[in-house]
Amino acid sequence: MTDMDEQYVSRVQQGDRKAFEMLVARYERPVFSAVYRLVRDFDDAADITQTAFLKAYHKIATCQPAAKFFSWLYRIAVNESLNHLKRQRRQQDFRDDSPSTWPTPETEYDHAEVNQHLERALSAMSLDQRVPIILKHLLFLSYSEIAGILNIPESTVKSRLYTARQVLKEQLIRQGYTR
Amino acid sequence: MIEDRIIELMNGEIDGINSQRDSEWLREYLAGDPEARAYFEELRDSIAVLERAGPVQPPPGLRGRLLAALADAPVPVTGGHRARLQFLRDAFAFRRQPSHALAFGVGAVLAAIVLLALGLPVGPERSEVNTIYGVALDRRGEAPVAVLTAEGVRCEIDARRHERNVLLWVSLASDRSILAVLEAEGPARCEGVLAPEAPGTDEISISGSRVELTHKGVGRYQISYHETEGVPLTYRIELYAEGAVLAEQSFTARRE
Repeated sequence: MTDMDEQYVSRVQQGDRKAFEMLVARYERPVFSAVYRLVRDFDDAADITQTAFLKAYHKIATCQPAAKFFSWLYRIAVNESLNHLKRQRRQQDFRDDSPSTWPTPETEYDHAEVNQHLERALSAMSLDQRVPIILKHLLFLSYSEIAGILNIPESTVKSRLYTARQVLKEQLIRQGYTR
Repeated sequence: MIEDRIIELMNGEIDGINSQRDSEWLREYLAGDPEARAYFEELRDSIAVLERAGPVQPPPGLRGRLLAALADAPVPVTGGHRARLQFLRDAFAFRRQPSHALAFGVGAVLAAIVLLALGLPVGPERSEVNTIYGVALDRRGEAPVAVLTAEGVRCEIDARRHERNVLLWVSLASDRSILAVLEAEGPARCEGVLAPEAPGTDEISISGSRVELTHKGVGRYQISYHETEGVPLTYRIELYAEGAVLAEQSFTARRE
């Protein structure tokens, strides 16, 4: 846990709700980004992000000082996202190539074109591949942090990540986006 | 066909975890194998696309919705609460056992003397509160890393770095509406702005490493950054009013 996170977590554990708001301010964006890339629906991602933060708040007593708060929070967010996708699969015939909801990308986002190519490439991956590549290249986590979040060995993280990178490369080439 | 161990080294190179010897070996290998070189370049390019996409901006209402839900949530009972409750129970038990109270008192005094002798803080935090225009700054006794002044405007900044994370406290006092633009001079992204003590705030916008605050009155903002390449960066703040620059300054963060 970074010193700053540790201080905030400690303050929340003492009953200071404002300190948790600071943690929300720090991690709202990366958590939302990761969740959005996983579930590919803007509204669902917002709901899951909110649920993840509320769960983290309620379970703050279980956040150990030796652990990294962001790893712990990301684990909650990733699990929430995976549970959401499982529920969705049960409820409907969820297709991995279903279009994502991206509100007015041309006007709201500078990287609309990159995002569209990326969306298609990520859609071609299984969840086992998509989760590690998102954690690695969007949240910049280490192998050991990803292994801790997903509760799998580092060697499995590596092999899934290498496969995911291969899929990403092939998809972007197929789309003519990279050489 | 590229061997698995070469692909593993390529991935290790991208992650920056190869030893110097492995990196050199791979470089030489790629120089002599055009197929592997092309594969490596494609792999590197595709990851650059992924990283270039960057974080997705959450919907504007999410923070407010989340904070409102938090406000309604009960304060969680934590180990800290339980420990304090146990401490209070023990303290009240002293009334029934005076010898325990005496031992506790002597122990606490000795501990305080030892901490003072070692120069360690006695109490939760060795912080100091200073004020500008009535704005509180937690400075821990140190001067701000930047002070900007103009007619009717004052801005003080404290900035602390821990590893790749930088937390800035920006205190602003202005008798007119100003625009404060803060930007990291290098690869970084702003991860959030909190304005719990900024009642004069009209608007906050974040775009990558750039933060814009429209401000009038007195207030303090907490702004967090993540430096993506792990190289300590310089930050720059500019204050504008009616399109003209009032003051500008570059600064670096202190190490936490």
